[in-house]
Amino acid sequence: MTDFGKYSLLFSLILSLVVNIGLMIGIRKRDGRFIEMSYRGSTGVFVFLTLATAVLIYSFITDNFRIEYVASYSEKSLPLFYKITGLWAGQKGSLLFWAWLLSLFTFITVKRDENNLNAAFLPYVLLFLNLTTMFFLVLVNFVTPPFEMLATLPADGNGLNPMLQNPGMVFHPPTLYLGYVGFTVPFAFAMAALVTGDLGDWWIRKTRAWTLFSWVFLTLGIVFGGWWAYKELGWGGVWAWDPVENSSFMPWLTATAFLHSVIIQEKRGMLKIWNLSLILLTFSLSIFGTFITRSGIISSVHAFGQSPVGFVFLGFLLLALAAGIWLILTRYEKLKEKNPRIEAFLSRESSFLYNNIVLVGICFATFWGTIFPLISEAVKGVKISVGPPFFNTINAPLFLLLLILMAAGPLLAWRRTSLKGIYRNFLIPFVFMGISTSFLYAAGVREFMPLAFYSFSVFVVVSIAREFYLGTRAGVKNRGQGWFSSFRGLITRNRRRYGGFVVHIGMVCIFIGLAGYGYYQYKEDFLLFKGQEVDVKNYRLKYADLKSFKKWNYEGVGALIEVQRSGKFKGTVRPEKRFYKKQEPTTEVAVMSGIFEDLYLILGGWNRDGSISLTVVINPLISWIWYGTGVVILGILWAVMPARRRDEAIDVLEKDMVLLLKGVERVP
Amino acid sequence: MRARQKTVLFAVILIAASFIYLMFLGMEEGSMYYLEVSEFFGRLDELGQTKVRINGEIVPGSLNYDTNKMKLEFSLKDINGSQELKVVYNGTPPDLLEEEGVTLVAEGSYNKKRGIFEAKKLLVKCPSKYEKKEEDA
Repeated sequence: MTDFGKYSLLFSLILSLVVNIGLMIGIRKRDGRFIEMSYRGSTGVFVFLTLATAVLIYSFITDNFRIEYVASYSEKSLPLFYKITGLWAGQKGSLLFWAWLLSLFTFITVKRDENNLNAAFLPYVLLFLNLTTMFFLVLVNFVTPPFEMLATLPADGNGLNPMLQNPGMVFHPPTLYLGYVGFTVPFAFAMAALVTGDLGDWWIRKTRAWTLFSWVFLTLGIVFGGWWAYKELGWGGVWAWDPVENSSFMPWLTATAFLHSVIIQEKRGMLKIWNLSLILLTFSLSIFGTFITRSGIISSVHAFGQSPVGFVFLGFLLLALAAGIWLILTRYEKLKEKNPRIEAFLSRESSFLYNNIVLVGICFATFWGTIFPLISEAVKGVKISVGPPFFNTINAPLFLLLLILMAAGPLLAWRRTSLKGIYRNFLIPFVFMGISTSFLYAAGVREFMPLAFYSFSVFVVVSIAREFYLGTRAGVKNRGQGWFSSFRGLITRNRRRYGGFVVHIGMVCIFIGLAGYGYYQYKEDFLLFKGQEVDVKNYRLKYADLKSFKKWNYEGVGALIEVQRSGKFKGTVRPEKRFYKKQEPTTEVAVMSGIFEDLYLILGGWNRDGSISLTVVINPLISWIWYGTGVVILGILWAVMPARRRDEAIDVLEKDMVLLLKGVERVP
Repeated sequence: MRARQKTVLFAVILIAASFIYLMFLGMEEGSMYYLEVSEFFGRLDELGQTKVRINGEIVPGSLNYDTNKMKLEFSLKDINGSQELKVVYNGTPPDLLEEEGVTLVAEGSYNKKRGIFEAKKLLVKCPSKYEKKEEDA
């Protein structure tokens, strides 16, 4: 069985090599038979990788501890769910999973277009996808073989690290991988566009769904990571600017920039080089992230195995970057813009441009802070680490700028915006913002940053609501529809625009959550004796009892804490310490989550006299991060759903909007 | 270049300039020496009271937590070193401290009078099986 997995991997590698050779011959000789054969071959790679993956999962389910990887990440008594997800619990399986995803996406890409006679780009796309797959296949065959056998059969496996036995951690890696791998497809299309010299926006249109799909999974992966850190690491926060976190955040930033700037290329034919560079950067950064996390060259709280894999990734990264840059430079003449340039300081285009600069700026700052220890060591001979204050100092204002752009951008017209237009569009959101700013100030939000964050959040939400309202009203007035059908028509006709607005609302919720916990977290340590009560803010906590208990794979000690909020009994929670049979002990925090704030309790330890040390954290608005992520997903889902009669619909809609903006509200 | 484009360019330059300013500001506030224990002793005089991060291994048997005072004490050393640095930390001890050979990063400053490093923050690098296993293999 194991041999079967091993040989499937080897066979996938050989096949992918054959595919590449076939493609190159086919492209050079313009021979369709070789190309056809390569398409079949890529299906073969997918089939054999699927087999290998299935064998590994099967080995986990059947407790085949002869396989070193299975023995390291599973044990007999582990629940089935965690056994299956053992596939990506460690490095070897993760890379196999990555390769498998890539072959799946390749398979889908080929299937979508293989019978399309106009798809002259497809061989090139497949070439770049398959080259990437090949890289991973070399890894899983020779550098990190998942089917490596142990010399002797252990009685039981080592079990899964208890900190990883959490749904957040189970879904964090695969969602991130889906995001990373997903961006390989637009990357391959972009490279194909460069090689063929057909540099229109076809590759952007073709990969729009992939881009959105990958972006949403990347987002989800990052949020799952934060959620896991919050529930499991027990320091009361979601984000610490650790190199490993940063490495997933950087491709997200460039991907977000890409998502916005492609709209300008579609609408105005501008920023071609920029878009190609962004997708190249996104792809490179996702590989760079893997390099950072796996090589261990930058010290991080997350300890991964420090294996040579990191440097193999670095090599691949440099190769991809060099190829990408070379392709862009050699096609520079063709890419130079003949189309109109950005005309006005305040216009939709320029706001997209500013948005891109800010996003790339955040990315650069994050990159700088992440690799600074290396730079300083090389230059000054001493490691200087850069902590959260650096990232917060620079990124918080940039995020605020992003929020302001989110507020203003959609209100600006393409090409140029007249002052009159600005006045008309900005007045209502501005008034709402002013009112809420005064309210917040009166309620005690006095510092500049949080006040600005919340005020502009209001601005964004009001202006988006206004867009929905005006669009709906235009339908009612111009076509005589009812309010509901007009609204439905509006949001189904231009899914990307209105889905995008929903995503913006979700992002605003996330900002609100981050600002709440970032600026107003409260933390206090207590020593409590049995029966003692303590007041923290509007909570009264009573330490009722200390209990020990036994579960299937650990023994725990938990303190029963009775919680009252504003005089009302809210329930009993139990922060714990757990001692596992085969693993390190962990602290299990107790979180009482609410819309306005989370009460977060950490059990520090206990004494023989029954007293405990308890850390109480109050995180305002933190759960808005999770709600906001849900809204973001809804928006993206709405945007990617296929539209019917799209172009025609957009024409109608834009006509409405133009009339509206000109102040003509009723068409005679 | 038309006048309007100049304003766009001006806006871009303005953003870039404030960005660079923020970078400097951030580096001032956020950067800290990241030292091994021996490096730390080597620079003790020039460091004075500045905040630094120290990376080291907990000396086996040196760990002591006083639950009543919520005070954690231990000594750090380099993995192959012999110099020991006494560290004290007030607050809840992080997980995984009891493990043999745990390395951690302590952030804080040195109190010369008491000869103790006063940590404000502890970051444990978990020796998760990720690592152990790979070394065995």
